[in-house]
Amino acid sequence: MGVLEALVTVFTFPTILFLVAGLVIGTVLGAIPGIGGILGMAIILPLTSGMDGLSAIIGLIAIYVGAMYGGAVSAILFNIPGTNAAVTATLDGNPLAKQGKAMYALAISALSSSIGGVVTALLLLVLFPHLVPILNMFGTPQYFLVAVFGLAILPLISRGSQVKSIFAASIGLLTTTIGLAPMTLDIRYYFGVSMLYSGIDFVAILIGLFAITEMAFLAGTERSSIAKRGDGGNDLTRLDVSAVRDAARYVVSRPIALLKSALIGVGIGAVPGAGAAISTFVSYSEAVRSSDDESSFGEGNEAGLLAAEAANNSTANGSLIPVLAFGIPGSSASAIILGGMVLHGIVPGPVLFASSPQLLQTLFISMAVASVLVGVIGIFGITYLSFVTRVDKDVIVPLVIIFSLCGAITLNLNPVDVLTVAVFGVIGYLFRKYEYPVISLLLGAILGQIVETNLFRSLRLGGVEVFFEDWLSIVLIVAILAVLVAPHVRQPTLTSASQEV
Amino acid sequence: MSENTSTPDDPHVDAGHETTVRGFGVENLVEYAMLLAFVGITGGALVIADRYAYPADFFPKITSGIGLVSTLVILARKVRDDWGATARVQPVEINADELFVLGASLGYAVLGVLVGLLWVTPVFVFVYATWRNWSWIRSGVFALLSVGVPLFFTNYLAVDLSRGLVF
Repeated sequence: MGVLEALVTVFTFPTILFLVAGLVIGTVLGAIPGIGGILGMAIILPLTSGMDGLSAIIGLIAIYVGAMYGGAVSAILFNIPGTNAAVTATLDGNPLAKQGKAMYALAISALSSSIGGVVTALLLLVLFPHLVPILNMFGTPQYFLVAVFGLAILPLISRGSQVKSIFAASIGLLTTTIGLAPMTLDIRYYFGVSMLYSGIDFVAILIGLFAITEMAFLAGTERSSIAKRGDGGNDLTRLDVSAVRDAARYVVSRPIALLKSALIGVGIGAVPGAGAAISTFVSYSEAVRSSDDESSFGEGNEAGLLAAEAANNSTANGSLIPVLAFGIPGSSASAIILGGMVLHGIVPGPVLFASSPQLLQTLFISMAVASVLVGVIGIFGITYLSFVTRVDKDVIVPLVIIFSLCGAITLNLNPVDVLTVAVFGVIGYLFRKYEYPVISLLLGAILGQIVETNLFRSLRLGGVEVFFEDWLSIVLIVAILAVLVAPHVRQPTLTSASQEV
Repeated sequence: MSENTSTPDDPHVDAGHETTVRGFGVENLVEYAMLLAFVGITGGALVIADRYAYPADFFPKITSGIGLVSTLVILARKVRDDWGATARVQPVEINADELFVLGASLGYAVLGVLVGLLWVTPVFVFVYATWRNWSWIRSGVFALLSVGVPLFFTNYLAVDLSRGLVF
């Protein structure tokens, strides 16, 4: 009954409208190199303040899902990934386009993304009731330890040195100490400015880190748009039904590869700080490893494209697990979804699972519906998507900046948010330029209050001993120590693909 | 995204002012300046945190302390890499267009907060468009059209962007 009600909610106006609009917006933004879904979500997040919470979150999820597919469009057509997650799609997608099979490659991409997303969304729908008793085992001390684990794992999966990741995370954590202290009435670091009483909103930080930083890099690129790169002589002005049919036959004839890639996507997506850049790489590597014809990968092997694309939407779904369960984002995009939840008063965590199963069911079903629709939009929108890649960057850059700064003021009606966006745009630029992990900074800014609040609640409960009183805490402490020691034991092999932001 | 993976041995790397590899090239100075700024910020935060009573002082002390130590470690490593006998530092290019966008965004934000984003928006767009060598007329039309964005926020979200802190 609950699932049926959730299904009805998703298909009720205006929810379905926001879902479809989010998919279209995400697909279009994802197809434009330099924009991408994360930036699109960051810009649109403040605009959702006039909407009801559920519709806003569904709209944001739809943008994310759409962008995952959209990012592959320019990757396949022009060898320029619209998003980091689409980098792997260039490896075999673009060679296919160069062989005159662009429509075929785009259809494989759309269908793989779609099926991977549906499978994992339904998997989450089935599994989440079983998570409730597990999540109920998490009290304040365990919640603190999970947040620390989220911070500790960052150096392991983010590119660059461990000390840079620690530095970036500490700066993020420090931003959360501005304003009213969570457990006392002290106002910290406000320098007599009353507008700083409420602190710095992490949503403003993430808008700055993504929108402004990304626009600076886009302005610095030489191309005016990617259209000049050519599209391999493919005719994309009309839908090639036979190519789509061949792609559909190919995709449905490989259920094991689809399932394996989807599970890799959802599994890696659930790890805080990891993202589709890693999962698509791992999924692609697995496709190569399990193939009898390894040499054909990189030359236009459909199996490589299928593996990468089936993993990306699944990663989007998986990244919502730590957000919903603990309020800890698994990726930059899920951090924005978390921002949307906070903006609309939806508090993630174990209580959400126990008290609002209907909301979670609706979210999972909306993810499944979005995944189905992205296949439809992806196939029937192919003829239009190649057009959007021709948008002039000199139009994009100022518009995105205007939307970001005007949108920032809507977060709390506080001018500090506008300045925060601009300042963190500069910081994000410097971090990216000198290879400091931006994701560590962002997660620090998100997790700071969770860490501080739960630390003091735990200490009041029973001092330091409270962290060693049950097996779950011990397991979490061991896990934290393991991820801190791991980089010194063996260099991880996935770091080159791990820069999600 | 805009990674530079060249090494000092890369024949494509310009040894001139654009990609100075070692020592105090402009691009290198920017990173030193950033690190020194964070030394100041984290060090200042640590000192100020001492004024707060427990438990409000605990978390700021921990985070600023870790921030300060890690910044100093990075700074020390950087000095070692830049000036050591076996220094191999990846060159970093800083593009004028990128700096312009950052500077213009900062100026837009500050002026917008002071006098209202509605009035500063067309100015920002006009300056950006002329920087990108658009014609005066085209820049002016784009600037006028851009006012639609803050007007959209004003009408759709009922946020008054015509007023700033000054007037």
